[in-house]
Amino acid sequence: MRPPSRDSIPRGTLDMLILKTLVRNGRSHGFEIADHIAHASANVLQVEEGSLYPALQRLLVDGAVRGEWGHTSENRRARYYEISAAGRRMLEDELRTYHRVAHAIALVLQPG
Amino acid sequence: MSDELAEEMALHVELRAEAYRRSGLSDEDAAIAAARQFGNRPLLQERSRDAWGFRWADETMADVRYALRQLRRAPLFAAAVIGTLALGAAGLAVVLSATNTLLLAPPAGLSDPARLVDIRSTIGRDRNASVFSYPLYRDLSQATSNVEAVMAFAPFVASVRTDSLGDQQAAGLFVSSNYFQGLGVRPLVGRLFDEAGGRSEAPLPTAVLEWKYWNDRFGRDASVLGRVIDVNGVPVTIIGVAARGFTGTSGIVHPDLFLPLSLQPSVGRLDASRLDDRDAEWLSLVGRLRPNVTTSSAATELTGRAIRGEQERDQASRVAALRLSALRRVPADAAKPIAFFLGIFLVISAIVLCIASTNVANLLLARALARRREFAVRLALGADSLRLVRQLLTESAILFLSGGVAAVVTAAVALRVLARTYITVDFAIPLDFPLDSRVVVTTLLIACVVGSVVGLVPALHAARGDVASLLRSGTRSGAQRRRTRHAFAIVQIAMSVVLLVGAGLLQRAVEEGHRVDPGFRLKDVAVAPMSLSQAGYDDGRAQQFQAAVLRQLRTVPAIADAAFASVLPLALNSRRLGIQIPGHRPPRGARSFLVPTEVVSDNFFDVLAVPLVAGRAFSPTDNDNAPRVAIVTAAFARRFWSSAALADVIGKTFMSGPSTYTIVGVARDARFRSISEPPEALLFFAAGQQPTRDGVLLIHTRANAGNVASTLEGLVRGLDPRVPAMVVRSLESTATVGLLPQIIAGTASAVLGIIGLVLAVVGLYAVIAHGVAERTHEIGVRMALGASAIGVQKMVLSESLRLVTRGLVIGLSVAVLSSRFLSSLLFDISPFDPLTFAVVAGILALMTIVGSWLPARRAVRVDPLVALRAE
Repeated sequence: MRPPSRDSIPRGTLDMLILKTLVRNGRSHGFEIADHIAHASANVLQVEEGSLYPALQRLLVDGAVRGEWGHTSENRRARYYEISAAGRRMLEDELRTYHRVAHAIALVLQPG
Repeated sequence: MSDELAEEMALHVELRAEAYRRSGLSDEDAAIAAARQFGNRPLLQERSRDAWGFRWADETMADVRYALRQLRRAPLFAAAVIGTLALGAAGLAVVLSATNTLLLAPPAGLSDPARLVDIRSTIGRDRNASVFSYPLYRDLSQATSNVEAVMAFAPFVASVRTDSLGDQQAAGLFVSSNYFQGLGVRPLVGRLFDEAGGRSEAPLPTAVLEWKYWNDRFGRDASVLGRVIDVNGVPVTIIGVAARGFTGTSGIVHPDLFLPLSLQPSVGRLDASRLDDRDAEWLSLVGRLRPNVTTSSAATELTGRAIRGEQERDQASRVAALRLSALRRVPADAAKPIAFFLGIFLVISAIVLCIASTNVANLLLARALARRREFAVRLALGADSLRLVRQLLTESAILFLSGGVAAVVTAAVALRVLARTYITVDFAIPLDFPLDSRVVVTTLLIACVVGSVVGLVPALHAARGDVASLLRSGTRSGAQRRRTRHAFAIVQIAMSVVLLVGAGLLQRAVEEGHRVDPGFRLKDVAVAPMSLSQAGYDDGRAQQFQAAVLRQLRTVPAIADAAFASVLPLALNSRRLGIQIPGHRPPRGARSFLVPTEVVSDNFFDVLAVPLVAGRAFSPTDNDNAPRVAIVTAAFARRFWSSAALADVIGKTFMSGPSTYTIVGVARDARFRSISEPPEALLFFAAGQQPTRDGVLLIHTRANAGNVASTLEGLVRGLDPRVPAMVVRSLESTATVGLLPQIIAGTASAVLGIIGLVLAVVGLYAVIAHGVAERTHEIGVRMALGASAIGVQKMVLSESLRLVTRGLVIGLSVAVLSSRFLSSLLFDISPFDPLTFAVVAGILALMTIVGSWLPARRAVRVDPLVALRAE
């Protein structure tokens, strides 16, 4: 079986997707986040999965997420990420911007 | 950090692979698919680190680690570079430190020195603008809205007698009662003067010691408090020691002890109190401004006060304006000659650093050449050429920084040695220029800047060439490199020529200075300072005593003649006095002409063999009962009566104080004040009419009169054992003091010139040796074809001679253009002195031989077979 074809994620939206995932699922490690994004988008949005990690590091630096080492259900060491208050504010801002832009694009594209 | 990322990513890929396996892929396929889906792991790791902004730091750390590894592998190279730089930059650090101490930093040991200002006045051009009268100081000393306090001080020569140590000369400083408080100096032991004594400067006979004096003379004994010492014949009680590091505010002389201004009338070796005398200007002033006050607003306020004060005492104002400037070790009016000197040294030491840096550039170039295969391989493997340049720059930055540190350490040692050196004029002036953080940082900064400039050349060389030509070691770039190295050698030689010419000219000036005719007898004249004020004499008895000493001296067979003078000739010293001359208007703002004066006994002109060109010398009849008379120098006559013949000056009169003087003689011009200054307008008074308690005996001895000192000692002791012991010197040795500027400049430039020469010889050697090594093959071929050993030697020597000749021509041209900046120090020596230039050319010829002898010998020993086989 071939891996499904991917649509690349628009730049800058990856942060938003990560933060949204963390809000919905709570504490998650990298693989869980990637998996969730893939499933939730019905495998349409499938990231080059590694690019998740630079994004996560950026969010760590910005203080939007907190990272903490823990163990998976199969008892393997993994770093778990959690959204911070600052991260929630950042997500709200980005969502607002996103909706405004999406709405504007929709207006332009609607037939008639 | 990177380990955590790697672990995280590994887990991710593993989990993804498991998922694929579960969906039915083989183990191998699952692993490949998972890895592909994840992307380029090392790249992603690096980008993750970039999120933290670590990339730059990471790379720099890697560069530093790599550079250190490379340098550890070539310890000899590293040591050569660091040693060369230490030698080259240490001179600069020393000069910077001296400049900083003397001109840029406030004197040591003051609290909040930024608010302290040097106060000077601008009056007519004839007036010494840095000193004030005591009444004027009192006007200025009241606190105002801008000025917190004004402190006054005046240096004096102290003869200190203690029970245990006997007589000793010391540098004294009269200070106002608020001096220590205003400067923010605390006592180390005991107490300092305070204003408890009140503004009256009540005459408390007390003294405060400077730390070093206390350490050297009293062995840091705390029990000195309360001890009574004898200063110029006045008993004073030691009440404290000033905090260590405070060395006064009086220029480069560090005072040994501080006395209250109120003691001036009794302790100062002056005939009368200066405290009430509004004409006696003798106090230097320092002000402490209130916080956030500008110097200009404080100056305006103080000027107004000074003018008001002077108007109350006098009708006309004598002060035009007060000028305030930041307090420095050397007061602003004396800064110019010192800045000139330090400027010369700064240029010289910068040249030495340039020579050293060129050597280092040569070493770096040679090393880059030796490593070109390494660079070529790295470039071929895809290394970024910018990265390569950066790496080489890191290496040279590390080298130069270490060199800078080594230079600072070397300079610190040199300054330590220098601090134990004293220039003795009247006092021992210490050459103490402690390093401070500013100097250290500047030196390191200069080292780094020079390092990156010098390091850039070989780095670019290494990175520019395309890989192929580097691997082939193309001949074209070889020739180019040789040209660069030759240019280095030529520049070095040229710079050392400039240094040597400067040093040579100054040495000649010192020699010439010893030969300059001062216009009076130097040989066979012994001088002995004699201070009677210290022995408790009044003017009348002093006069009698001096006459008696002279009379007895003349009876000694070994002594031809003897005279007395108030001022030691050639000691850069004279007492200035205000005079009024009928028909002559004083300079604007002044009430009188301030002229240098000297009081001399009647046979002064005989002893010094100064002929009178008109009129007569003083005679024993010029005493208190006779009309007041004076003798002037020809320069004095020309200054005031330029149109008159010298004979017509006889009989002219002038006023000083209450008396009118008649000029009875004109003496030929002579360099009484300093050997290096042209004769000045000088006024002589007769000792019989102008009693002076302190002065100097001038004794004209007959040929090889050995023990004038003991004769004099016995004679004076016989007359009065209370008169302090005298130091007898020859007038010739005193003349040396006048040559101090030349001697200091000559010694410093000689030391730096030798360092520069040695570095340049090493540089020349390196270039020639390298050339020989590079041409081993060629030399082998030549010798195989029958070239003689002498022929090969000639070839090597002629290459070196070509370089030296070019360097010499350039260097001499630069020297000719720049040596006239030294002309003020050179007496009558031409800046183009042929002897100096010839000697320098000779030294350079010697340098050629030294620099190319070893390489030439090595060239001759090339075995043609070995040389040819090596290819």
